[in-house]
Amino acid sequence: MPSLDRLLGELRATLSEDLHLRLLDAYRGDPTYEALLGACNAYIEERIDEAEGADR
Amino acid sequence: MRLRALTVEGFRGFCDRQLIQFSGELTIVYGPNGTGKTSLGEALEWLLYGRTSKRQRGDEVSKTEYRESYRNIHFAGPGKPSVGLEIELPGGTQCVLRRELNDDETSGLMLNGAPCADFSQVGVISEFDRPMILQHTLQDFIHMEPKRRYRALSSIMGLEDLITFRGHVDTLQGRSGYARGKPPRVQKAREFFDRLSTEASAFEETRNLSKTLAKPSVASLPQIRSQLRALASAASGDGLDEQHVADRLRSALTEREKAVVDWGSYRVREETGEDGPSAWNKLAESSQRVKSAVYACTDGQQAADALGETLRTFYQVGLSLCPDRDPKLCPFCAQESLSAKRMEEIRGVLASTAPAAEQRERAHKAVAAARTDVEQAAVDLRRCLPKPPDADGWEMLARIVSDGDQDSLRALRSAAATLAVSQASWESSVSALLASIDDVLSPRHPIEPLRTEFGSPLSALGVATEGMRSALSTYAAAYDALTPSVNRSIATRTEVRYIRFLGEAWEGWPDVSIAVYDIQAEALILGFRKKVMDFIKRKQTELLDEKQREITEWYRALNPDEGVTFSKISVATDALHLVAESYGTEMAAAPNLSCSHLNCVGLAVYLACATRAGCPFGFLFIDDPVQSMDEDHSEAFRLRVLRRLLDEGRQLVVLTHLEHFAGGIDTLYRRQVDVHRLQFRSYSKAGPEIIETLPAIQEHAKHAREHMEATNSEYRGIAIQHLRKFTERFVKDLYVADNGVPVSRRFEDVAWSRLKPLLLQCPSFDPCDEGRLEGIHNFASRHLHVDDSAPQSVPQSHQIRPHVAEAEALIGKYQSVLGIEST
Repeated sequence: MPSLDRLLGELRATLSEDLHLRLLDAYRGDPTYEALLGACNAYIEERIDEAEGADR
Repeated sequence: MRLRALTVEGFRGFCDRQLIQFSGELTIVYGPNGTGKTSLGEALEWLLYGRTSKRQRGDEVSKTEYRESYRNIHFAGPGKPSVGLEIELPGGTQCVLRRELNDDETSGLMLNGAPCADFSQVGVISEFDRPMILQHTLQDFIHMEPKRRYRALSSIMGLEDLITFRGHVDTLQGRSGYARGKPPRVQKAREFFDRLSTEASAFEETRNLSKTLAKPSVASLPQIRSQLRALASAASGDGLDEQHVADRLRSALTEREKAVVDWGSYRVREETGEDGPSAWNKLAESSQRVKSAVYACTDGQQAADALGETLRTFYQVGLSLCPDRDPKLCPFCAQESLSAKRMEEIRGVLASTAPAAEQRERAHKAVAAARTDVEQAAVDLRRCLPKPPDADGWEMLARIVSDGDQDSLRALRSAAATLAVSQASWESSVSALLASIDDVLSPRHPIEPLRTEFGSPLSALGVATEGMRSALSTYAAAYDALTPSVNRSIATRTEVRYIRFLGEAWEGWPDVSIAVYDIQAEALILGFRKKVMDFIKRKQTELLDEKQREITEWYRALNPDEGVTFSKISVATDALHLVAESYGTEMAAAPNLSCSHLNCVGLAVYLACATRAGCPFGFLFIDDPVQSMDEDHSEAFRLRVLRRLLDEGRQLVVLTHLEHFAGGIDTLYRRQVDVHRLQFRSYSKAGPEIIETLPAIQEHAKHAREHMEATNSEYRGIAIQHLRKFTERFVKDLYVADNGVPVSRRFEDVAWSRLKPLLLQCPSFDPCDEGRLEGIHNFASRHLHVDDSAPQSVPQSHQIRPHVAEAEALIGKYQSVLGIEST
């Protein structure tokens, strides 16, 4: 039976987007919905900080 | 894991403690219906997983009906209902698993006598590894909802965790997931952006902007900003400085709003804090000062009055000083003289005269200053008084206010009229006060008395001011009541909405920017979901192809070369469909295949699962697998399926209510593997009676011997029956031993002439024994097939005895060929 980590490893090899990789890595570290949501929010916060930095 | 022995007590059909020992290879349990075979499977299922599939299904229907159904109804202890299992792990380690049923239907587990939480230590982890094929669950997989089927098979294939992951990704992408878990400012920005996008589609001017907002991306942000700036510029003046765009748009909005209707100014001023409160304060202060001035005037008047009296006294004094008069006598009254006391008084009066004049002067100035204050306060107050709409304004209001608010509009008009009257009265009071002050201030003779008649105009002003305040409050309340309706109407005016839209978009730019980043993140999540979906589907197809081959192989083993047949499992997004084929045309399997075929599909699925690589169980417990199968399918199961399982080295426990099926398996495999035969019978309150049995052929000879000496003809009849079955079993067993294939049930209960051809196909059969066998067969048949027209009496013991001896002799002669041991 293939392990989840092995399957996610296979999936990772097919990804290239930064957020995709982050989502997968977050889930591999903590296989919960909260981990995915946390990765999304961290990503968007970073983008906003970047935008605010550019505006300043 | 392999089974060694199972003990069960107080559970389901077992009341008294029973011990069932298993062969390391093949255990055949035969028993008529209702003798507790299914309870045996349930005991094993409950021991391993803490619940049975039958109970699980029952609980879905009615929890009360199925409550307490694990416990045997007659069990009274001592101790708790329990199931124990002795197992052997790979490597030869032996363990004892035990589960005890508590009163509340929970259970306690023990491994080798020590309490434990589960049996994961010995490999019992997933229910999908279930090493049991139970007759009542055979079609569960087939009649499962396609979605549940999908989850079940995904779990079997080890994709359950990946499917759970996909579920999380789905939730993240859906409205209940990321949308609700976003940081508050992102949520707020998205709501703002969504509203803005909707509004943008409503204006002709923002058609292009609307298109850009419909498909926003971080790359398009500068374009959105530039489009907004151009629109703002066009709406409120060219050459806008970035810093002042918002201010200009606000002004433009006010202008647009006023262009709709000049909606009074009182509320606007009060709301913006312009002059309102301070003007009222100033009027109150100046009124106070007028009052103070009045008091000062009074003081001055008194001083002036005092001065007049003093002057008269002075004149008297002057007269009395005339030389021709007695200096000690007053020239007017001749009653007083300039005494020392009088002289002192004169000096005092003279001393007070100058300050009195000064005091009068000060009062004069105070009155003049108060006048200025009153005048200024009145000007200030006028500035903050409302300017109710003019005739056109009222007309416009009547048009734009909704029907439901027309009463409020009438109230406002009435309040405006009252306010106008109050204002006129107030203006008149102000004028009267000022006139009164002017009168006081007009040039007069120094000793002429000041007029102090301020009291009346001042109190009249106070009354008029309070009246105006009250009228204003009424006006403000009426204004407040009408404001929402008017604002709604104004706001719906396209020109107002448009400028407001531009202003909000410009001022809310940070939110627009955050929302666009968020939208892009959502698009990425959507892309991620697709990648995950594609991956799972690919993986599933890959694994299913492999699993499908196994399922199809098992199915084909049971159904070789049939026109109507199960063909494949097809994968949808999150459902699995079972597909059948009727002479090349596809159709859904569940509604179209026969019950027997569906049993075969169910069996094939469970067999593929139970035999998959990585399954921790080395045994397979099969309960009545051929219940609804016809003879050919039963034979296929017995011959192909069981052979393959045994060839793979699996330990099998096969339960059946069909004696011939049990005997057939025994005959077929007893030379190949160690067979343990059990029979469940005589079910009572205590549970089934479980006995170990010999191979059928020996059992028949044994029973014939046991019954042949009976004086009761009925018992002797049983002996005859067993002799008859012995001959048939002997021929069939020899045929299977020599040819390796089972004999059809068509050869049951037939004449010797039908059996003989089988015997002739057995190379190990000694033709000399044909007569012996035929003799037994015909002897038994004659007495079993009673012709009513020529009834046969049951033979006596001495007549039966030689035939039983012959049977035993034949067993002895052929025991090695038949694979049986001597008893």
